[in-house]
Amino acid sequence: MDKLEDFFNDNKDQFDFIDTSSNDWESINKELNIGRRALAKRKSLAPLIAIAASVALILSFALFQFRAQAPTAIKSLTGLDLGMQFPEVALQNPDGETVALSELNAHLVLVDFWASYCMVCNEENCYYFKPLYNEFKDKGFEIYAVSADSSANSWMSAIQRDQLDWVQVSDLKGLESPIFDAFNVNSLPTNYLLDQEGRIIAKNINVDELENTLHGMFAYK
Amino acid sequence: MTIHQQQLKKTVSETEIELIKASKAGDRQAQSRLYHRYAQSMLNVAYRIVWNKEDARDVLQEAFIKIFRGMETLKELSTFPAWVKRIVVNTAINHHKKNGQWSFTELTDQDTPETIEPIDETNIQLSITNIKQCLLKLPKGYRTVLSLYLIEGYDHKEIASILNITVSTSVTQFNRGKKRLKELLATEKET
Repeated sequence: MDKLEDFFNDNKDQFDFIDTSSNDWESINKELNIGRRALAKRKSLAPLIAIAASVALILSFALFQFRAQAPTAIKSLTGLDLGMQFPEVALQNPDGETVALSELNAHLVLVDFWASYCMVCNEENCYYFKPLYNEFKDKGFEIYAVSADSSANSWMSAIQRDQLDWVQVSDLKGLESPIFDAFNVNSLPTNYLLDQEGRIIAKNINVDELENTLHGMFAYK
Repeated sequence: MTIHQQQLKKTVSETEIELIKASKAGDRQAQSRLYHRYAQSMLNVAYRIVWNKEDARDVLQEAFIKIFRGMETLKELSTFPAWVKRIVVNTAINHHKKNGQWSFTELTDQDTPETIEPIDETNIQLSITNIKQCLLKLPKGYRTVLSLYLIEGYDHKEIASILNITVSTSVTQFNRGKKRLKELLATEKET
């Protein structure tokens, strides 16, 4: 630490270049209200959507009976509590290869539900998951990221832009995909942390907890 | 947890936690109060990345919309300040990249050979106004790395991930930028 750095350290709060606080609250407020109205609209449609969804579910179940093998295998639809076995899921990666969750040879798997348009997911990917992934991937940590994108283009460009090197899969059916219902995903991002046997050890783990878990688990590796 | 997150964590008071809780629940008045608490400092955080008043205002607005819309995902309320800052920084970086105002090619520069004579630091008079003026004379890339490190308190690992450069690039750029800044400060003294 030299003189200049010391000086900065002591005067951090004084390097303001803009003195007058520009009050843009009104425009923010307006924007937020637009969001809220859209949400209210969606809510009023909720009963309709629920009916449509149950019809779709019954139909898809009927269809399922007639098909030898569904492209996406989701076995158990219930029991996503801690300690329970996480259902098998197999989806395609950007190269078109099907990757099954059970195929991953890892001691700890984070199943992450995200989307390229989800700002918080992007933050999480870049600033939280990426450093942890880089640190622990060789020790047995894997991320199985299921995207809710419906456009292959935006999905793949987000992966490329942020250089997300872990397992990336999607059926590109957007949030309407049965996957998200099956795994109780009501909002993005949602994650499940699984142990080596595929049992759920945490849901929506935050980054500090994840970091602690990883450090604890792989301390002697 | 990094140093700057720890620093920020300490400053969250009880009142603020209440405000954060209410904001999370969608209370617009609490959100307004929270916004006004952070606006001035976050505007400056944005400015120290985009280096332009109008852009900084745009960034602030965009960031706070993201913040209030995304608050549901905030689990640990005490991390709010760090979270806010990260979103502001990230929005500023994206904004800047989108506008194509600086690219990090200027960070892989060839200038400033490493063999420059060490500067006699004893004669440098450090004052806030002086440093601010000299900072503004530096290329934007240097300015940004310097302020992220010295003012925002990020370490090189974090800067690397924020700017999508390698850690060693961040370190070299920081050292070169600091050297340039000192040079400027020294000449400023003479004139």
